[in-house]
Amino acid sequence: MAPTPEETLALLMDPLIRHPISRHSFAPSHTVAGAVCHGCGQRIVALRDHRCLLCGVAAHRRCLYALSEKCKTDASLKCTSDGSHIPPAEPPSGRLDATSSPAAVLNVAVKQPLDRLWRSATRAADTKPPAAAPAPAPAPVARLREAAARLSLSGLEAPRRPRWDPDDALPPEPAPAPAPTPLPPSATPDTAAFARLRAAARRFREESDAGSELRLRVAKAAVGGMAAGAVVGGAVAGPAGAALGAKAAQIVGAGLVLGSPAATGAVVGGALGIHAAATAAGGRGARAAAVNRAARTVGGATAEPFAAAAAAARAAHAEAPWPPARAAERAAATLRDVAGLDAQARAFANFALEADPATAKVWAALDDLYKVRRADARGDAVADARFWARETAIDVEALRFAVADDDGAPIVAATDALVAEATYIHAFTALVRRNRDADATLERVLAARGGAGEGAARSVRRGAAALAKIGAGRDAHAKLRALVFCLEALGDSDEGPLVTADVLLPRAVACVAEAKVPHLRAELAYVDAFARDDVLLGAEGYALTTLSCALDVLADGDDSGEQPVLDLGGESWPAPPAPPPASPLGGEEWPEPS
Amino acid sequence: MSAARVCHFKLVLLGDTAVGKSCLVVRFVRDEFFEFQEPTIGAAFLTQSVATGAATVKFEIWDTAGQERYRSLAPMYYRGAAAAIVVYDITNKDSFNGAKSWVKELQRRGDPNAVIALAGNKADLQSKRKIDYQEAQQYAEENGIMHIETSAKNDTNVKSLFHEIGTYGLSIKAHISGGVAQKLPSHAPQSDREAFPLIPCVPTRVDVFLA
Repeated sequence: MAPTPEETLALLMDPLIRHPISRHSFAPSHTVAGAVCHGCGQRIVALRDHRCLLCGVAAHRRCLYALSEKCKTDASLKCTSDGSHIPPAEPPSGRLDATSSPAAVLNVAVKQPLDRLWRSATRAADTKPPAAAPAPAPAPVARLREAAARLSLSGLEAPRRPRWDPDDALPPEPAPAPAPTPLPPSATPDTAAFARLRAAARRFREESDAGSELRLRVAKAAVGGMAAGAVVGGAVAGPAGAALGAKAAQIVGAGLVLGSPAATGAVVGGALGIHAAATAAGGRGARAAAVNRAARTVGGATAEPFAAAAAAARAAHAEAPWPPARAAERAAATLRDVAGLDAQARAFANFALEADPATAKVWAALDDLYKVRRADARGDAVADARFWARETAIDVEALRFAVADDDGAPIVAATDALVAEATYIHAFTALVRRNRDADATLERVLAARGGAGEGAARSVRRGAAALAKIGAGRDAHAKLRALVFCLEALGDSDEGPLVTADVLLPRAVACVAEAKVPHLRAELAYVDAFARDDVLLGAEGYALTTLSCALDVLADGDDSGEQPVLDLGGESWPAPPAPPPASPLGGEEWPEPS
Repeated sequence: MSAARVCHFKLVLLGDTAVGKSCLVVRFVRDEFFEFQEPTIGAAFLTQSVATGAATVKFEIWDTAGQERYRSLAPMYYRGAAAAIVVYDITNKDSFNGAKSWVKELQRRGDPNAVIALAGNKADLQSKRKIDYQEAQQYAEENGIMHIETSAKNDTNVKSLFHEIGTYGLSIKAHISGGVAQKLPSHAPQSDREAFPLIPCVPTRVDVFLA
């Protein structure tokens, strides 16, 4: 059952997500009778208002922003509830399937793993419990979110944004840290939070190095994050949102695993941004746009994750009082300022919204985009955004296996990719060592054989160029893409009628000889070990198999005496001197076997 | 159609060189109407979907090098294959012997649940026939594999060959997924692609907000 936007928004308004300043957790609700707005003191006459899930006060939606501003100076307006009356959600059953409600998915896949992770992390990091904390410690997840939210919301210069309304009150920049905090007091609360996050992340990393069980847990947390992101994003913004949400949440996992405070901050900031953007935006289109942009910013974590996420969160928060369209405009302007993401955001949003997951068209579209990317390997922002969209769509696909499958094995498979990213250097180094002898042998063979240089066929040269990029990939699937590009170049039928395996394999041999990629055995071993099984059934697997075979052929020294490039294999054609037909299906002259 | 499941089958083509493996599959792939052209690696890796009653089977077709000197590499190709087509040339006795050895090897070293189909290609060249239909049929029955004679040239039985494999493969899959431990390819690729439970709404364009 697909979640409705309302359900999703309710999820977004999870009681554990509290406003970093007002501490309230406002969620949409139906006005009962004559409620008074906590922000402006006037009666709420609209049919819908927002109520704090913790203390129950109501407010106009338009007053939420003003309320948070007032809370900076008037502590009495803040939420006083510690949230302890909210029972922890339990999974309806231990397992998730395609019919699980989004709440169950979120709970099982995200909250519980995160809770456990947080507990295990705080055991190590929390040497000094918050003795002076005025209220009971909030739930672990809330603390994590809160700490990271404060990280991303304070201490950063926000870029200047165009002012849309002379009456609007932009928050002072940088926003001051909230005065009361359940975190242990220290000279600068941000430093404390920062240190806490870093300690947690370090512990995760150590433990995941130490034991496979913990690695698995981290992995599951990562996929849980993906699940949450996809559920939330999918319900709010359709496929684009699902993909983006997954990506955002994936970075949560990566941030935890890598111990990168920037990534963690980016994620939580991005999550806040999504949350606030979705809240602020009313119409579906605006909501989608806002979410897209917020999440796109998170995805831009490669460049300036921290600043981008903080800005997204801040911007999205600032949108609250405005009508949706304006909020979206404003968010767009903000993002343009922040990261120059305009072209990418536009391209991505349009692409993603055109995609219809109900049919195979989405895959065709993605593949087209893949080709766009291939045609212009770098520099084109649009192609870049589309390429990225494909990546995230693949992630979401993986996620769907995870959620729908009974035995959970695919969860591990899908998350391995994420974990591999964090452990890449270790794993690859180990494989280089393990394959040292084989690689040395290969290099000797290649040195003796020599590349054809300029004499090589065009397809082989192009394939070699693609193959040389395998080392740049930092995970198995990036490497696989290099292999597929290589094989697609080799399979180009410019030079012959039809590139069958009989033709392809010798070309692959020539290509390997031409490319002279260092540690190629180790590269292929890495791909073989870490690529997902389902991926290896398709073209990616074929590429890997063909190149592995090419290495074997080279190692056996068994390609002697043949002109590999010109060897057309004689599939069903007569002797080589006769020119083969353009296509075996093209003409009447079906060749007779000799 | 929109309600059907999509199952992914890795299908590997085996057989001696010059028996028309590639022609068979190219005939199958290029002749069919299909909605979009996926990336291919020459004619060595192709995909094509076949609608059967229960589900749509999407074949990921792996060609293998037929030359004898590459024979030892074959296991790397048929690893994890859900189906294999062993092709021989009805006008060539040697190719039939080669096919027999491929079948033997698959049965010994391949996935025990894999569907094996023996395809006698070039059935249009009746006058040059060296392998009797009955002989091959008897061999197939003895070994419990499918057998069909095809002609890539005349497009005889090509579609039905893949259709049969798809149907049979689905029934096997339904049978073995009832609890038997599965091998590498068995779980991941069988998704219900069209059921995207996380996506509830038909999206709209958003240019206006980005302009």
